[in-house]
Amino acid sequence: MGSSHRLTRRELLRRGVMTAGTAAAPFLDGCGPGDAPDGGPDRLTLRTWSPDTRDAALASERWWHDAFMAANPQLQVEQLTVPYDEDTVKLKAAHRAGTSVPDILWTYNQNLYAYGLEGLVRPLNDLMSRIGLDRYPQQVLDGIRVDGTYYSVPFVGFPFFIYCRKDLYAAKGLRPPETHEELLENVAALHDPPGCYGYLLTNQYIADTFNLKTAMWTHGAYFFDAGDNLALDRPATLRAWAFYKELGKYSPPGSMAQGDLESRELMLDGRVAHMFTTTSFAADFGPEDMNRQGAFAYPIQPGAKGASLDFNALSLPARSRQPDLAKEMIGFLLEPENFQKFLARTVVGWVPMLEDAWTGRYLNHPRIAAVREYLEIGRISQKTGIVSTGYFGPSRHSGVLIATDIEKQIGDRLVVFDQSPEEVLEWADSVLRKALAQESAP
Amino acid sequence: MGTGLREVPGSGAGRTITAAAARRRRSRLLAILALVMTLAILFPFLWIVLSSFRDPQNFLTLDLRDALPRSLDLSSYRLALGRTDLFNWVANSLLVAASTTVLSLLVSAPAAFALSRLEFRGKSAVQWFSMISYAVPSIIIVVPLFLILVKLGLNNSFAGLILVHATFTIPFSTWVLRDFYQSIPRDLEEAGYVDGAGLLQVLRHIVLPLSIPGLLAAGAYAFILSWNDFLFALVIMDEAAAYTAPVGVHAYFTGRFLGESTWAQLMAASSIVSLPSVLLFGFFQRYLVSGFLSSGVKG
Amino acid sequence: MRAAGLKHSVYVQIAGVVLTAPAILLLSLVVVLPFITAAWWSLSPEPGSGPTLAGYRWLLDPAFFDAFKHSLTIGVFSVLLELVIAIPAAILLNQAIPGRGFCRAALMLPWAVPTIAVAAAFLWLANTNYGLFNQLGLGLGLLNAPIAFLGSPALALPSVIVAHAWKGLPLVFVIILSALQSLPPELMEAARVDGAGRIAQFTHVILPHLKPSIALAAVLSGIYNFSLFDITFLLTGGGPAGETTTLPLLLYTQEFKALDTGRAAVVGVSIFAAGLMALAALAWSSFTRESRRT
Repeated sequence: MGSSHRLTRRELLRRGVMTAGTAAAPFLDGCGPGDAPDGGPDRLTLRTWSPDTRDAALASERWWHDAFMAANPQLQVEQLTVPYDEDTVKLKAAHRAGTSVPDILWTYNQNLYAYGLEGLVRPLNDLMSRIGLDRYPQQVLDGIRVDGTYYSVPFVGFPFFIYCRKDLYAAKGLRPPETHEELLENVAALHDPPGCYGYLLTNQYIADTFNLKTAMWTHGAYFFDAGDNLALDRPATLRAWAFYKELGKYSPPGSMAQGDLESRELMLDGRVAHMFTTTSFAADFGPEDMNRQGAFAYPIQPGAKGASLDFNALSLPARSRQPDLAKEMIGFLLEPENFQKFLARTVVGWVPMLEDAWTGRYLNHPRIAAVREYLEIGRISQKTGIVSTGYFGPSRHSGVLIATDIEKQIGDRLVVFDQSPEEVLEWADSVLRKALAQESAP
Repeated sequence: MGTGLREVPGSGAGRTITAAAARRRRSRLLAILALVMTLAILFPFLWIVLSSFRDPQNFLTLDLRDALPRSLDLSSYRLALGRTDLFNWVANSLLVAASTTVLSLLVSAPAAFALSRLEFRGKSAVQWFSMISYAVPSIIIVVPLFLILVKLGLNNSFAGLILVHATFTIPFSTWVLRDFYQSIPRDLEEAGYVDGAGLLQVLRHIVLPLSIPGLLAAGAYAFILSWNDFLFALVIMDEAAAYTAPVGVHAYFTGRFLGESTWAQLMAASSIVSLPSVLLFGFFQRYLVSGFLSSGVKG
Repeated sequence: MRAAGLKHSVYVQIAGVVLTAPAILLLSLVVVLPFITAAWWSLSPEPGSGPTLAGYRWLLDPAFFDAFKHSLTIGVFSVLLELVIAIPAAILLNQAIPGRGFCRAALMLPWAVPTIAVAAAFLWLANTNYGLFNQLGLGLGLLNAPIAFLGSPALALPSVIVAHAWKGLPLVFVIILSALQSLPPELMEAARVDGAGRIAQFTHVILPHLKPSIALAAVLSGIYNFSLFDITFLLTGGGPAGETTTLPLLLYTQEFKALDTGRAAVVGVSIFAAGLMALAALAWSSFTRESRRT
């Protein structure tokens, strides 16, 4: 971009040096080796935590760091892989201690609400406006904003949609379903156990509950209404859960105890006919898979919301030392030109969360063009998709829902324990009411 | 075994030769039984090792003929080692576990000796304190412990991790060693005192040489505890190059598509990560078993 | 005797304190102080608020009760399983048979395998779609459909128990074997002379002799398995529908998912209290035993 940006960066760099210098001073005597900025005040170190170890994820991240370092020669960027789901442990300890906190935290969307509400990460409204709010789809902004505050900068997403066996569809003369009923019909038509099951329902960890979430949202069922009141006890919930339970009947044994990443092999192996997962599944396709795997967006009832849209975001820990520099580094990544370079290197199927990055240049890039068919479906899903920060759509009560592990339990009760939707609703409603009462108790 | 372990008393005199033959047959049968039992218990581990030699491109299969490796295929190892820092992580783990072992013994052995031999005021309080510490679940102290390490400047340092690991071993190691010292006849020490030696000399020349099996047993416990730890290594260490094997392996395998080759690599990585401690156990086993035996942990 | 002379000397008092001080110091710093901090947090759920026992009301919640039940089940049954395997194994390997050294060493191996590899082994063996158990069952025609060991309500907890028992077996085995070694041969000989059969020898001689060791092994291993986090976390993550959610898992969820430190501390203190009760029972029983003996 223009040279004005560059100046700002230098400016910020200088300011960062000073901030870090003063902040580090009390720690210099007697603190561990990780605390002292390497090489004194002339050389600044920005530290990032990120979870993904796929080759492409690491390569794109390295490119970003190298490019930012090249633009800011005084700067050193150090990356640490902190496994998915384990970053909270580390972050919480570092936050309490006020040291060892990374400058940039790359997280999966699931934790962002709780982090923000608990004060573990900084408000980023200024950074979001600088990047440009208009570059994001409105429902994404609505999904990540808590009481008017943004705590994270989404950059790549993985919209969910349904992969299906294209060859079997052709053989049976099936058409991509447009309603939930048609989906069930197609699933039933291709259900031929034990060789090939109709649908793959996974529900392993709380992060794997997108099947339940999507069944609910697309039926117009939600845990909380717009006023953030418990809204489970509605006919739509029962309809959604009955539908989910029906899908479970066509799912192979044990699938509910498996995670999404583990189960994808079954779809590749031809042992299930439908699977609801993300764009990144396409990255694992070989040429034969391309001929076999089709895709369509999840059906949505009129007036209801769309499928789950998960994403990776960048956050700034509340007690990080160089927030301005970190913001600069995130802004650098999302400059359109840089972001294209990043997208070209990163995991195929990590689609841009910023509208303006869906360009011909992106879609025609050799790595992307190979799976463009699937990413286009992802694009459709992304447009209607619901960003599920904190799992449940925007709600202050996401902590209660996480603490009760309720979504996974609902799925398991419906399918594994074969309980009726009414029974599960009665249970879930009472558990949530009690938990909410405790939450608001002094 | 050669460690003077008692065996179930054999026959008296005057049995016939057929009785001896019957006994030999019985002993052979028992040996086979023991072997079968041992293999059954070892099986889960043997299975990951066997699986690690399978073809990573045809790893996930329901065909029974593919369950066993057809040849010693090392591709899984090449894949796992090519993409991870496994050797470095294992080296870190070895360093931390070995240092933990030494520190643990340096602290536990004197305490155990005092508890077994000396009548001092506060002895039962010390025993209770150590026992109470054993009941503290480790996850609850992660965050507060980290705060203390930061205050001491020991976060992100192997020294801090070693200190934590070694401390966790103290209750159990002290317990084992105390009982071990109690099994060493006091007469030997008494003789030393009678000869005019002081406590330190008795310790060095009489107690220490006799307590080597017990130290090895307690040391093995310390090594294993450190070798297994995931949570504290994750929270305390802040650089990828300083990760220990469990953290490194976990970081590498979560969040990735578990396809054929990933499973195969997981098996190879698990085998590699287990290898040093398994070898160590194999090497020291006779001392280990006899160390625990002589300690006669009896409560 | 010199020892009797040593007993009251200042030298012994000082030596006792000096020799135990490093252990006490480290335990205080690394275990007890952090634990007291956590316990304090359990009393003041909101920073700045005064201490209150209100957090402990949560102990009446069904979620807590279920987790407690699962932890207890894992603790008790894994120890039973360990004993059922370790006692015969120790008796067998206490006899003069060829290959005894190898077998004894091999039984120690689960200890040497890091938890993460233990989890990998069980996840792989029990895998619904490609694991050996299902491969064998389906391949030999014993099963019509694969079994989801870690995902079925009936089998998840037993599977987790087996994994705990496997990892914990060496400790119990070693304790039992060491007790057998101290069984006076005359006792066995006398029983044999009295015409006691093998079963009678076991129930009347071996078992009574092993009792204290069994109690010790049960308590040590039981506390360990009761409060162990990682095996269950890695195998089932607490599912299906919370059927394998243990207290340590609940603590983890509260502390690191719901970010509710106060509630997590409540769980942690309860785990501690349960372990302490088991230890106290053990100490009390060995104390009464000893006083009976004298």
